[in-house]
Amino acid sequence: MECDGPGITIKVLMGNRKFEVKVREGAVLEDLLKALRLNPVEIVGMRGNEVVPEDEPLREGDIIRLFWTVAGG
Amino acid sequence: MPQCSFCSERSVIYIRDKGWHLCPEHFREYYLNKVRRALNLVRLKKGTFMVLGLSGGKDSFAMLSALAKLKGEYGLELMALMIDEGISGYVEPRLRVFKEASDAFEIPSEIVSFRDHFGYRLDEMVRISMSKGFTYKPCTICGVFKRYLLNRLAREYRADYLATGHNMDDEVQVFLMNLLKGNLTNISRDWVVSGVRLHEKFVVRVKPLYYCEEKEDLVYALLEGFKPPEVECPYLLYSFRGGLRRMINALEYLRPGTKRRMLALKDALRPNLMPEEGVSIGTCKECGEPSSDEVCKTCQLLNWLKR
Repeated sequence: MECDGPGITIKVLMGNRKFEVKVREGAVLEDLLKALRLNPVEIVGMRGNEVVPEDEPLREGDIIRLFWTVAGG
Repeated sequence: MPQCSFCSERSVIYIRDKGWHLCPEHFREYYLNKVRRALNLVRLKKGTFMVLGLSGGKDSFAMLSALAKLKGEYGLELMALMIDEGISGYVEPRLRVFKEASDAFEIPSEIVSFRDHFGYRLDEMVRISMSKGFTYKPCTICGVFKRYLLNRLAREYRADYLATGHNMDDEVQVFLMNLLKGNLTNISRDWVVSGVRLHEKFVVRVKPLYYCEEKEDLVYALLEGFKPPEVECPYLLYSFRGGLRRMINALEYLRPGTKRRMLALKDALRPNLMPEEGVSIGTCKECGEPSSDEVCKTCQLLNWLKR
């Protein structure tokens, strides 16, 4: 998945899937979720061992793990 | 890096409808206050014995962790109970989470299975249902047997209360489903506390996470060390509630606070919907458990599976 023009690349881990997403520079987690057509109300993001809010700025090379709140009751 | 609205620490969650950023410690306080809000409506006495019906998921983990923290404050005796439904590949990691969590929080625990009590694993029941035209969907079968077993076991353990991990999202979804079906009786019954005076064999049910949003449960659980099992229930695709959940969450994103307002609406309507003489139900003529029909749903389903 790619944005137009220069951007930053984020590695995304979700369940057993791993993929890369290019978002615009200055993007926050919410922008990444919207690019993936995910509702921020239903997703929690972690960078390493830290839970991050949806307006957390993203950096080139970030590895973001996404958890779907709907999963597994 | 967003900062907590109440201190200089790093934020872990943005509470959209309040415009607050919260750090781990302020979020824990915010979350536990929501649990206290629900527990305070129950008017618990010191020494109350509460059985926690758990699934090994995030809500269960969050409830177990929160109640382990609050048990001294409320004088609670706790026991963790998990039902092994018998869903291959799905239940094993959840059983592990359940066992590790109850040991870590020092809560006595017990695991019971559909197989031992009903003679079938859920996988077998679903196969039988599919061979008979898929009359009963997996979530219906699972829900009926689980409710039956939790109530019966909680009673056998002499519990004062049976706590389940239903959260605000569950409550709002069920409220909307009942509205769509025009089922006002169910709306009147559904609250933080339910089952009071319905039947002598009913253990009163309590929902400590009633005011907690699903996302808050997950964040709290993650902060408390929850490792989400990376397996999904294979029967999720048959769930009727999935579409409703997506619609409600889309509204919540557009209008933060939608779920909280819907829950408040339900709670405001509820007293006006309650029958003046209260609701009471009968006894199943086959198993003797509480039932609104002559034969309870559990016996009906078991009879149907065996035919």
